[in-house]
Amino acid sequence: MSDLDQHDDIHDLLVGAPAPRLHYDLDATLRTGQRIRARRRLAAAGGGVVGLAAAATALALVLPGTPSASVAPAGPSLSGSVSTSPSPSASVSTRATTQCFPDDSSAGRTPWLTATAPGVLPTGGAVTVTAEILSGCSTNVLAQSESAEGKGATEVTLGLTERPTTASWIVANAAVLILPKGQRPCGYSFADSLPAGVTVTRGEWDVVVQPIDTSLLNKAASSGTVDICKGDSVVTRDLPQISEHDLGAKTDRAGAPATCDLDELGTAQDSARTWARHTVPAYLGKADVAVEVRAHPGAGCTGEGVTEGPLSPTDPTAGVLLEVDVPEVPTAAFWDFVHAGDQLVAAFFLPAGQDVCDVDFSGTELTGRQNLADATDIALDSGWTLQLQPLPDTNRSLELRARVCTPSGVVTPSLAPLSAG
Amino acid sequence: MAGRHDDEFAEFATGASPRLLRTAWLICGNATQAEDLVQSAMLKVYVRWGWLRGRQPMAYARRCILNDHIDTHRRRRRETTVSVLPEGEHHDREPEDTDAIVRLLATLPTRERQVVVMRHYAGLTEAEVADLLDVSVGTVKSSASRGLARLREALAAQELKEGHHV
Repeated sequence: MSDLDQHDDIHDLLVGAPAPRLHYDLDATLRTGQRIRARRRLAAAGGGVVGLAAAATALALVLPGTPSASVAPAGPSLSGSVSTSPSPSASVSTRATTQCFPDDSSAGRTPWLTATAPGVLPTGGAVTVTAEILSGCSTNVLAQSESAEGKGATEVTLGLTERPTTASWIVANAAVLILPKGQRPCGYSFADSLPAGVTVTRGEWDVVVQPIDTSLLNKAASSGTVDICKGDSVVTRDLPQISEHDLGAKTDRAGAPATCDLDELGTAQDSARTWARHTVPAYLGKADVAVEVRAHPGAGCTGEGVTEGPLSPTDPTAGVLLEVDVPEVPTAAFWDFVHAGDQLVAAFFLPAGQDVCDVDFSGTELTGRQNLADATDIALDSGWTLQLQPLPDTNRSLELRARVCTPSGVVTPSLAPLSAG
Repeated sequence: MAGRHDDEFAEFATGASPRLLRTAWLICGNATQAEDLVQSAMLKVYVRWGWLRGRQPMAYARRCILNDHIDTHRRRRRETTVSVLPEGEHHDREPEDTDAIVRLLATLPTRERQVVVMRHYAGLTEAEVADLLDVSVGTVKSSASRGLARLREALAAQELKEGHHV
């Protein structure tokens, strides 16, 4: 039997073996994915001032053909204003809360540098890098488009919320590094080495463009880091891309995270203070539902994060945990969702004397008045009430609004879930 | 709140998920875990769809599955003292004939199992598997060779055992 025959046998074995019924839930991906996107917008907006202190905060990658869109200011809905300590390096006094897009004419743009690396792509095309400083935007923006010059020539436009002071880099069709003059890339997590590429000096900065083999692009873009050296010394090890700040709440030089992404903060924040924690065993007979509300002042968070995950990291059937970041002293009602098995549940946090008097479904695909099952009220030590309210399933849960009342009238007529921003 | 390319992503996910599910199942040997791996991978693909849509989302999804599987495997190894592969636990949900291939693959170390499945089920080249697993092509070759040998041994032993039962 030839080696090929043996391989074919194994292929037949793997393809033909009976398998159990396997299910993938597309709706769950869309639902959770939309929550994550919303949360990131929320974190990026809420962490605006903090983010300005970092070399780079978040980056929205917009590919050619992506229509422009304007995202409404997404401040934390539980507190009308966010107070953050002014950063010594913050160069603006107003809080930027708008996520901008490359062709967004509302963003104030100040040209910073432009550099062209001719013939750097494997196709022989050039990469032109244009960096500009945006005002009024909470996130950095990358636009990448093909140039009319042909040969795959690419134009990369970086809109930065502030002028960088240290090295930064991104993966477009090539590695694009903006480095203080004299620094150079000296190590890569996704490759042993890269071709030297082209270095263009602009004032006190070097723009380095290095081609990346297409087989490495996914790896580079998804998790790539670079080491930066000056002379024989490593200046920065494992520098994440600008986009990683969006995904990972990486810590900036001052020790504050670029965003308040609770997925990333997890329990690593020693300074986090628990404001409320409660577990309802076997809620509705479906799953344990736990809520943990914490303030993360040491991380620079001021009430702008929310995430949902398994109660146990090793046992996905153990239940669900809703984590919420709050200001140090919450003053107004807030709420978000949690999924007890397949049951959508609202978790309302209500100050003493307040109650949810209505849930508005008009923004969802559900029509008519919805009959809600009985809610479960849990008294918290703080005097607040946690109210768990089963909701009918909807693909537009972020559009739900709660009306909060006291016996004497409406306190908040339309309260959005935290995830909705 | 639908994303701007949700329809496009949905088309990709619908087409790719059956193959990814089977790939994940062959690698981890557990239907529930396979579903979790694919669910988690697809979420990662979704949140990066703007970047991936013009590139290789399938390769990215496979990488997520393999990385998550390795992470889960390591975590469980740290947290449990049992020597049996957790992949072998899934006996209660499906008829026993679906366990046969799982038992066979469970005789391979994780890396060899991944290489064999990626090479001989997913049909990737040695270079693609090397890139996916972050190892050299030489490692892929040796892992595939050892994995196939083990698999054949296990297969022969299984046939022998079944012969004795007849």
